[in-house]
Amino acid sequence: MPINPQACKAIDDTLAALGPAVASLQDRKDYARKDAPFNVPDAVSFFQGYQQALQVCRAKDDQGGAATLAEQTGKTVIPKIQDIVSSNLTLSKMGQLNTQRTIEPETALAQNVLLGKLLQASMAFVASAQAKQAVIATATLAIRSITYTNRHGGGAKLLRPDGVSLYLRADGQFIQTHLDDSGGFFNATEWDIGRGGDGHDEPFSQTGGAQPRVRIVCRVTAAGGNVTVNGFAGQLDGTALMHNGAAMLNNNFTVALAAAAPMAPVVVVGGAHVDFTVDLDGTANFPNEIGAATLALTLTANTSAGNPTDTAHAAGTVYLTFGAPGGAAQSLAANSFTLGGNPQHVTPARLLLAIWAARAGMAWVVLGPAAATNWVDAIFLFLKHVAGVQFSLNYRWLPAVNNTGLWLKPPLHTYLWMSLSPTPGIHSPGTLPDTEAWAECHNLAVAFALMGEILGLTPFVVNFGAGNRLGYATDYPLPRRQDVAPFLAAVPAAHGRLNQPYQRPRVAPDGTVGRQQLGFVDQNGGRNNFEGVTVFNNVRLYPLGECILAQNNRGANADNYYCSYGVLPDYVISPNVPVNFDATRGLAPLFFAGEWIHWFFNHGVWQWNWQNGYDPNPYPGLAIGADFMWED
Amino acid sequence: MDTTTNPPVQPYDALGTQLRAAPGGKGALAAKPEELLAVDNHCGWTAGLLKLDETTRSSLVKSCLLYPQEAAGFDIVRGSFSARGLTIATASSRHVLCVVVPLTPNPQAEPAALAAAAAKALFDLPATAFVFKEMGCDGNVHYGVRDFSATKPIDAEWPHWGDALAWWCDGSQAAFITTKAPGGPTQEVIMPSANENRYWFTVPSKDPDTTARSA
Repeated sequence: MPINPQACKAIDDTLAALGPAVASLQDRKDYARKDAPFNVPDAVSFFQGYQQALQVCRAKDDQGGAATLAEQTGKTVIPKIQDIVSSNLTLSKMGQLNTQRTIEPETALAQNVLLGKLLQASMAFVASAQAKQAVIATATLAIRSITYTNRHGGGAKLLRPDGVSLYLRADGQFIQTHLDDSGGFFNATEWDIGRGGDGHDEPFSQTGGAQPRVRIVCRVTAAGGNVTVNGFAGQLDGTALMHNGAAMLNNNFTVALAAAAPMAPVVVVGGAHVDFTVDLDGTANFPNEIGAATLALTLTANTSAGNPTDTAHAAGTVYLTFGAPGGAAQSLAANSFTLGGNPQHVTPARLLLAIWAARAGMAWVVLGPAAATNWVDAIFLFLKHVAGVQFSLNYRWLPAVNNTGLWLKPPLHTYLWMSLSPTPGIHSPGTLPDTEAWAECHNLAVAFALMGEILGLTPFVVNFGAGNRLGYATDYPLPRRQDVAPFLAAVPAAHGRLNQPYQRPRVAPDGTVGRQQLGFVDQNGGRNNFEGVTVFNNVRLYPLGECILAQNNRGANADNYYCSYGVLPDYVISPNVPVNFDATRGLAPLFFAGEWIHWFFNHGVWQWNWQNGYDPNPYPGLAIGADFMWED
Repeated sequence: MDTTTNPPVQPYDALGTQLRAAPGGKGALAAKPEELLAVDNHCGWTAGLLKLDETTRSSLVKSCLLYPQEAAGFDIVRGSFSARGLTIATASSRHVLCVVVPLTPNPQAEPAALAAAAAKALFDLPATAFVFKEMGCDGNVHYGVRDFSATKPIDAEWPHWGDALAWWCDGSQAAFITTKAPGGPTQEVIMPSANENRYWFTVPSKDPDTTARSA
């Protein structure tokens, strides 16, 4: 403990008085005389030693040492001063002829003035150094736990830990994904001293632009006396999370936190502590964007002993979404998906992939305000044109067969998420995309709906027929010509149609009437029945796998454009016409295929050989090959 | 047996004949990614279509050998496994799967009935699906398909392997061939034709479509 201020001052005063007093003693003319009333050199030496002791004590600034020196001062120094003062007083009263008068009375009295000051300072030092230390109450604050109460799910937190799994992909690659369904739950608190505090914080999700609210358990400890706690306040500091070299927030932010309700003063008894549960609300909202940030939280207590603070430097990570996360998909029959069943698990890895896609897409193409449709556009553009997500013929999730190319077969949601997750360091063979899993377009379409809905971008619904709730549609090509002689152009000539394949009757050599279906050839030369497209808000189509076949705004009639790849041909801005699309042409080859499979449904009439595969002459009279163009 | 509607060739044509035949030459283990993909596909469909226990399912890949451009020019994956004391052989091209199973001879039983009983024990389909119709015979090998006059298609709109099932039976063994079509809408046009099944894990020497259509 340092020397108390009063004692410090007394030491300084004593040292100040010592110098003149010692000098006065050294100046005495009886300094070396044996008949001097006291041994003056010894006295000088004594006071010089005392002077040194004081200086050392002052330098050490130790209250205990000062108290000891003060005690010695009272026992030896003060009596010594008093003896000399008494001696001088006696001398001052001696007559001129008194042989014991070794110094002049005036000198003795003058010296006593100096010694009197020294005596006064010394006595003050003794008094102050030995006096009991004055008691000063102090308060300390410690955060015990933090819970973000306005998070998605509220008390039953929606966000769950990543599911991490290792899959053996069919090309021999081991794919470790963090996008699997979660196997557990996060703690109720995002930050807890019981878990180790900083470095052991947990994330949560909340809608961007919503108010942060926190429930903090904190401890106020009083020392040196009672402390009255009058209230609390705080501050959230958000730092943009970095992902793949990109900031997941436009700007870092600070939000002041104020008490949700006033509290009555609470007295914390000195030497004890009280735990408080404090509800604080943001005086501003989280940034109104899709993003992610790491948080630091500083809490301040308003007390009678000052305003102690404590900071949780890693107080959680917040994932900001457009709305409440949702999304569900199930496949009870092969290649049939409905947006129902168990909701998808909302995990940090899934959210981060979606947030990254949305932000990177927005950064890549300026789409306008952060409206839901623009966010969906952004995700689509990024996944398709930057991240390299693409269809993979013959890979799909089936209820009964493992056709995913992964072993063991992942759960449906996991597979769909993996099909949207790029693997920059792992290259797939051939034309297969560099993604964790490979999938056909209708699987990608459902996956895209899950990604949108986890950010609260809804609804991914297309309502064809009575109340079906599909997140995707099958987009079929249409021929330009009619299928009856003289094969005139259809009016109006349409390029594509949703959910209804184009089929035409064909008569076999044996007279049996069969049917053929129009398909298109994709950019890899694969034969496609359709393009699976995600449908957003029942109006916008997103062909994540290949190209758009129908217009983006189906309106009352889904039959419309069929275009193919070029420069963003599948991205539609306005008004409902694909960019770079030549309505007089179709860029993808078409073909009629078909009778082979429909034999099986025609109740046993074997027609195998008259139409084994493609129709080499879809329009009689045209000198064309097996594949033909829309404009042929 | 009604032979009046005999087709000029058997179901699955030359591809079916090749898949039912004994392996041509010495097979090779999968090594390249494309070969691994083919083996994975073959095992996935075998495991998905047949009633197998988990031990057998997980061991399928060990028996798989590759026969690139086998005999008549098809990339084929072949495998075998044991179940209930029988050795069952499998083979598949890109879109077509073949399963051959030995039978306990029963001269009194019709080939279609023998095949249906074997299929019922083998395939994971509703029992009502196994009503077979004989379409013809080649020597002592009888063949046919499901009788859709007696049973309904599993998927009336899209190709389904259960509807595309064809059978062969000579009394001592039965072979089943089907298209690897899961039912429901698929992006890929799943074709059991010979031209669409020639190349799977090898690279065609020239455009297969051109080859196919000029053939």
